[in-house]
Amino acid sequence: MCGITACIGTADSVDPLMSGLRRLEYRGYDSAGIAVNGPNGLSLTKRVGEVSELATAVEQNPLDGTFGIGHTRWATHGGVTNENAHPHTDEAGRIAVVHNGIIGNFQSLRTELEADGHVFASETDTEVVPHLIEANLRDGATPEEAFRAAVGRLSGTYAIAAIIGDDEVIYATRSGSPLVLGVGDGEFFLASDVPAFIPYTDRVVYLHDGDYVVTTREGYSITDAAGRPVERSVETVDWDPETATKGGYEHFMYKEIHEQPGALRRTIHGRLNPLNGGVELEAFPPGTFADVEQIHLVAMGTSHHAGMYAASLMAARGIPAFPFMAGEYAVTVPPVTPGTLVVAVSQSGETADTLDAVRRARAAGARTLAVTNVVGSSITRECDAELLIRAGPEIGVAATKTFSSQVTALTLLTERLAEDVTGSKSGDAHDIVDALSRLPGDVQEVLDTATASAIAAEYQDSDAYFFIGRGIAHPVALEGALKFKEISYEHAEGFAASELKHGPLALVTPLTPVFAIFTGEEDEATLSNVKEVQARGAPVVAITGDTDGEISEFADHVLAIPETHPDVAGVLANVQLQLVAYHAAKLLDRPIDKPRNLAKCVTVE
Amino acid sequence: MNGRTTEAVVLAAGEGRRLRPLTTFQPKPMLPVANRPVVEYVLDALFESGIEHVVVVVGYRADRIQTFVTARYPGANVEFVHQDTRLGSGHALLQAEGTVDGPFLVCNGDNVVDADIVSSVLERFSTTRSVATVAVAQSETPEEYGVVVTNDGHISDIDEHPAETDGYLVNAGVYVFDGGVFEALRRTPPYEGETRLPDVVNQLDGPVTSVLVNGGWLDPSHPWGLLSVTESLLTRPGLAGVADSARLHENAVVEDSVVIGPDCDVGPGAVLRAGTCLQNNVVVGANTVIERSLVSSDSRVGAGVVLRDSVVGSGATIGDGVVSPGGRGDVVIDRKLYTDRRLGSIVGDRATVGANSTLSPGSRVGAEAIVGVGTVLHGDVRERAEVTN
Repeated sequence: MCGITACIGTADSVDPLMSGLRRLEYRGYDSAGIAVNGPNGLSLTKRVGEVSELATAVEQNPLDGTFGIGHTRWATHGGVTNENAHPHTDEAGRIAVVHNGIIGNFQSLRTELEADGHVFASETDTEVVPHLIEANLRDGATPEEAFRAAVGRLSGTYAIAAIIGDDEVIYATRSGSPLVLGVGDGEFFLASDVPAFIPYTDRVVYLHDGDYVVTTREGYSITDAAGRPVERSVETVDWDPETATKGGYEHFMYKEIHEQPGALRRTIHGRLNPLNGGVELEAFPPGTFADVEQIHLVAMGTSHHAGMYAASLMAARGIPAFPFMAGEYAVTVPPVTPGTLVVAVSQSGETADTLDAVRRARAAGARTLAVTNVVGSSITRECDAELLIRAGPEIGVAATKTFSSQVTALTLLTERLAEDVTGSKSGDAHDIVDALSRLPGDVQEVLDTATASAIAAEYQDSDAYFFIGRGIAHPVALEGALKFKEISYEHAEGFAASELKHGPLALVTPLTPVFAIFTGEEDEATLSNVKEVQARGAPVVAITGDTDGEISEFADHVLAIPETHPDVAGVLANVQLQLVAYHAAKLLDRPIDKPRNLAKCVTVE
Repeated sequence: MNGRTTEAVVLAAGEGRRLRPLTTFQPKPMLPVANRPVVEYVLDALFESGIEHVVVVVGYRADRIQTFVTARYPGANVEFVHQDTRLGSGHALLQAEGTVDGPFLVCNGDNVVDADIVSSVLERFSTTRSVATVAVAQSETPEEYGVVVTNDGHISDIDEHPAETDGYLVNAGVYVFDGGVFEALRRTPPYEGETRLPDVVNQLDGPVTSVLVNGGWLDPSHPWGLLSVTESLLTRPGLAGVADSARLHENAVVEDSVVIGPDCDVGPGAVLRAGTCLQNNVVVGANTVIERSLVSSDSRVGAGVVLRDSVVGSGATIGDGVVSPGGRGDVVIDRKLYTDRRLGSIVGDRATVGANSTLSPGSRVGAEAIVGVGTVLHGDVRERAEVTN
C-alpha cells in the first residue's frame, strides 16, 4: 500500500510529481521520494515523513528534470528510513525505480545479485529491480529489454515505474497492484490512482495485469509480456481535482461525514420506486439471481462490517448468507457451490485480501459480484458483475460515507435477491424502500442536531470504550469501535450485546462508557444488557430513535436518530458514532485524516 | 485606470432571520428558489463574468454551504473563511482580508444576481480611477436597503436609515473595492454594535463610482419573496422542467413554469400548477393540488392535499387531506406587521402536519414541530412544539 506516480512531457516534472504524491498520500505516508531526469542528469530526493517533509527538502534543494517518478510509502519490507524510501537505484544512480506491492521472491534474487557483486543500499524488496535492470543492460540488452527481463524474474504483486539512463522514456508495468495511465496533450502520467494526475488530464487508460507501458513525450505503447501490442481504451473520468480539497472543513473525515446526505442521494438515485415499493437496479433486472442458493460476503475492515450488516438483512429474508473476512476466506475456504454468489465489498476495489478471495471463489466456480466505489478498479474487472455505491471520492483514511453507501447499496441488492431467490418481495419491502428514500434527509437531521461533541468531551479520559448491539446493530457496534480506535488511538471494542455476559462484562467498570445501539428490533433484550453494565457502574450512551420511552429513561445520555425502519436505523446510528469518534480524536489532537500506521487502501495482504 | 478584476468575496455568513423557520437548519443562501440554492445563482453569475477565485465568508450553518459549494463547483477555485461572531457585513468582509490581492468584487450570497449585473459593476470599475464601484437599483421598498445619494455617477453617501424614501436609488449590494477597503473598514464606526459594509463608503480614500443596474437583482428576504423570486426565475429559459429520474404518474397534470427535481414521485391525479417547485426526492400523493408553492428535498406530501402560495422545508411530512388555501393575509415577521401579503403557510424542516389539518394564510409551523390530525392552525407553532386540535 504505497502510491506511485510518474510524468513525462511537462516543462517541469517536479510540480506534477509532488502534487501527485500529495493526492496519493492516503495510500501511505511514512516516507516519500522523487527522482527526475533532464539536461542535468538524474537527481533524487527522498525523506522519512509525510509528503510535506519531502516538499520542504525539494524547496531547499530544487531538482530539475523533464521526466521523473515519485513514491509515497507505507512500509512493508524494511523499517521507515531514508534508505528504504523510494525511488531505489542501482549503484551508479543511473536507474531509478518506484514500486507498489510485494516482491515475493526478492530474497533469492537479492542473494543472487549480491553473489554477482551488487551492493544494496536498502532493506527493501524493491531494490532488486534496479539491480536486475542494470545487470541486463550490462549483458547488452536495450533499456526496454532490460526492464522486461527484470520484471520477468519477479513473482508477487507489483506496479512498477522506472527511468533508465538518460533516455527520455518511462517504463512501467503492473501485476496485482493498481496502475493507471493519464493521457494529456503531449504530457503523460502514470499513477496508482486517478486523482494523482487529475489536475493535468481527465483522460485515463486503466491498465490490466501484465500490461507493459513505454511512454515518451511523443506518446505511449502498451504491450503484453511477449511484446505484442494490446488495445486499451482511453476513458474520460468526471472527477475534478477540487473534490479532493477540504472545502472549508478542518478534516477530510468531517467533510465526508457531512457529504453523506449527498452520497446517499447518489446511491439510491434512480434505484427506488417508493410508489410500488420496488427496487430497480439497471444491471440486475428481476430474475438475475434466480439460481442463487447462497451468498458469501467477503470484505475487510469497514467493508466487512457492511458485509455483516447485509448478511443479517439477507438471512432475515430467508436467503442463506454468510459474511467472511476476505483474508480468512482464503485460509479456511468455505464450501462453494455453483449456486453460490460471492459478493465482494471494497471501497477502493483494490483491497488485496478481497481480490484474493474473489479469485479463489471464481476458481471454485462461484458467481462473483463487486460492490465498490471506484469505477474501473481491479475488483470490477475480476468479478462477473458490479454494483457501484456512488459515494464519490473518499480521502479520509477512516471510512465514513462509503460505509453508509455500501450498506445502502447492499440493502438494495438484498431486496432484489429476496425477490429472485425466495420468489416474492420481502414482507416489508414497501417500508424499506420508503425508509431508504428518506435516508438522505434522515442523515441530514442527525448532522443538523448532533450533540456528539458533548458526549466525546464528557467521556474523555475513560479507560476504554465499548459498543454493543444485536442484529444489524452488532456490525454497527463493531464499526463504531473500529472508527473510534483508528482515529483516537483509545481502546475501543464492539460486541454483540448477547455476548457481554460471556466474558466482556469482566472489563466493564465506571470508567468504561458503553454505547448501546437500538434499532427498534429486540430493543428490550439490549435494554437488559444496558442494565447489566449500569449495575457495574458503567455510564451508558444509548443511540436510539425511541427518545421518550424506557430506553432514554435508563440511559445516561441519548444520541437520537430519526425513527425509521429497523433495517435502516443502523446507518443512522453509525453516523452518530462517526461523530463521537471524530470529536474524541479531535479533543486528543490526533492526525484524524492520517492515523498512524494505517493507509486508506490496503493493496498488500 | 483600474484593470480587470478576477477575484470575488461572497458574504454568506448570515442566518436570514426573517425567513424563519426555514432557516432553522440552513442559512438563507441555501434556501431554494426555482429549486436551486440562492448562492448557486450568485456563483454562476460570478464565474460567468470571468471571476476566477471566490472567497465565501460563512458562519451560520456553514457546513451546509461548504458541502453544497464544493460538490457543485468541484473544479473551481473557491475557498471559505469563517465569521465566528455576527458583527455585521463589514466585519464579515474583514474576515476575507489576506485571501484576496488587488481589487475584488463583493456581493451577498443571499441575493440572486445575474451575470449582467456583475459584469457591469466590474466594467464600470475597470474603466474608472475610483477606489470602489457600487451597483445601485431602483426599488419599490427603499426602506429595506440603504438609499444611495449619487452625484454625476459618483456616490456621495449611502443612507441606511433614510427619512424619505420616494424616488431614490438603493444599494444593490454588489461592489468592487480595491485593497484599501480593509483599512477603511477598521475606521468605520460601528452602528448598534455592527460594522456595516455600506457605511465603509464614507471612509474610503478616493472617489466611489456607481452603476445603475435594472432587473436581475432579486432579494428573497421574506417568505413571500421566495415565491415571487421563484416565479420570476421560472420565466428564465432552462429553469423549468422535469428531471429524467422523476416519476410522474400518467394521470398527473404538470403545467408549464413548474420544476420537478431528481427522484421525485408524483402520484395519479396530482395537479402541479405554475410556480411550483419540487426539489429533490419529493413524493406527492394522489389527487394533490400544488399551486405556486415550494416543496424542499425529501418531503412527503400525502394524498388529496391542497397547497397554495406555501413553502415546505426539507424532510417535512404533509398528511393526507391537508389544506393550505393560500391567498392574501397579514403576516408578522420580526415584530413587524406586513399587511395583505400573498402567502399561504410555511412549514419548517422535518415538521409534520397531521391529516386533514388546515393551515391558514400566514401560519408558520416550526422546524420539527408536530401539528396533530385535524388541527385548524392560525399563527405560529414553535420549533419542536406539538399542537393538537
